[in-house]
Amino acid sequence: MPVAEKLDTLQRVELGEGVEVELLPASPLSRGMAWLIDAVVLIAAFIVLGILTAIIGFTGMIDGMGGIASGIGFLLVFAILWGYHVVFEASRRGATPGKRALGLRVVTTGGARVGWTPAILRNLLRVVDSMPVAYLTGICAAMMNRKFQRLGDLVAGTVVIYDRRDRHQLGIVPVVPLAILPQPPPVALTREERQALIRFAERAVLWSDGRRQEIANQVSDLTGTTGLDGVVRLAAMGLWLRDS
Amino acid sequence: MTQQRFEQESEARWRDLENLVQAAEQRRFMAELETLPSRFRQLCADLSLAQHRMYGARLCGRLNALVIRTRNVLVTPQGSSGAAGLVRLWGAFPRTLRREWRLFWLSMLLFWVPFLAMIAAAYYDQRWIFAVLGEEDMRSLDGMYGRDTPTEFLREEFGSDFAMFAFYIYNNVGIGLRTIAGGALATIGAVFTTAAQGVILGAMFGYVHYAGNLERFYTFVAGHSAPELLGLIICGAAGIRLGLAVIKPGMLSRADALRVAGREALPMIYGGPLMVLGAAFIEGFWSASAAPPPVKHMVGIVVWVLVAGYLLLAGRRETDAA
Repeated sequence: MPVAEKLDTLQRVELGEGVEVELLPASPLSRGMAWLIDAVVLIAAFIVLGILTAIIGFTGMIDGMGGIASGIGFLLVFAILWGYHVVFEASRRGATPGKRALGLRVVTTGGARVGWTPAILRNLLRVVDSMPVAYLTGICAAMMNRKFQRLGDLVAGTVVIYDRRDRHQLGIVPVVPLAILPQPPPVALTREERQALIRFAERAVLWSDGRRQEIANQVSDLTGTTGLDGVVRLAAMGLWLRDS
Repeated sequence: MTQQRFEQESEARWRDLENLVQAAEQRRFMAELETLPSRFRQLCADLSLAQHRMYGARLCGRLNALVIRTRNVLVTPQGSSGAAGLVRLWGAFPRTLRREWRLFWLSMLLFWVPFLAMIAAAYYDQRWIFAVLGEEDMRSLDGMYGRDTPTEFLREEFGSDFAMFAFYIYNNVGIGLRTIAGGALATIGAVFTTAAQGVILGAMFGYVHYAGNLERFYTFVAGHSAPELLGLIICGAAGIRLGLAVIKPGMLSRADALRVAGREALPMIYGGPLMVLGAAFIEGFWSASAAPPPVKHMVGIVVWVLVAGYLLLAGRRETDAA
């Protein structure tokens, strides 16, 4: 496995069509944020439910309605507790409202939509993943594999990925200062090296100046200089490689 | 070919495909949808080409996302749902249970040994029972099954059958589901919950043996006892199956073993809680009804025989491979 693939969290999946697609597993932080939003939604649902049952219970509109109302209350609590995540994740969007807000999606390890069974399994195991506090078990399990799968994901064969369909719009911002003229690299490069240069040119705009220079300084042998000059030369080579 | 020319030549095709996929996602019908598979293959070829020629993250990212999106439209999730799934489960559940008979009997022992021991404690040393049940529990058992409680039934209020039925689902099915999930922690959760259920239920039975009205008690529990107890025990076995993947993964990695365990235990994971669900129906609407005790005892025995017969005999003709 090339070094880049060991460092990168991108998961390459080969499809039956003979093409490789890339999945980007979601970070624990964004999954945590999504969980927080879902928790707020759930608490709001339970508050509404509580108020409704209380109203029916207190007014006791019809004799004996209390039993029916509390029964429906129990069924709803049960359905929401065990079904909220399942229904949303098995839907066409593959994400709970919280996950959707964070741009996440649950897919199978093969990158396909999840059906009912994986959705049920991964959320059944939520009970243990969330133990003892703050999803500690799940986080530990996720740290031990490359796809950040908690126990539920492992059993169900699912991954939570970033589902940014507009990822390519990253290229709409001018990727590098326009003044840079493409230039060929001075030596022959391997395929992997060329790829790294192209990525550098495309993504440099996302980083701070210091970070760009720090990276470019690693290959001062290639650019023959350091600092800002190095960044510009490296980007120029990347652009040349990409466009020629 | 430069990236620019490649993009220019293909742009119209990708646009068309994006529109088609959008239509399919919104379930709008277009005659052109029939061309989706061949367009998808073309797109896959485009992505491979772009990756091979290193056309940069912008283009590759866009095509990558479009491939995934199109495939989600073309390929629906596997597995049967609804009625077809239930029909398959009908045979697959007892078959899986017979295949995993060792785990089933292990779970049986985990439940029945403490259960029977607690009942025996009623006759030898009641302190065991008092140690498990709190004041509150004993008072409510006295209220329901005490020697002085009149034999008329309790749930007179209209709708209280339904309320109890819903509560049993919320509580008992919840326990079953938690038992399965807890098993994933190296079987600990499932072993503990199954044994704890044996201790707690055993203590309740024991207390009634010691201080209550036995006929009244067994008249109430007879009908739903088989599916409820066996359902919980099967949940325990399913949980242990998951946990074994962590303890004893065999030739697989633990991650792979968990996935295999999930797939193999699946009929039990569905079947166990469904049995408890069935028990909730009986317990809610039949167990507290006014039918005479002999009828209820008979029904209880018939249910035990039916459940045992189902688990032993059903689904023998087909195989799981089908």
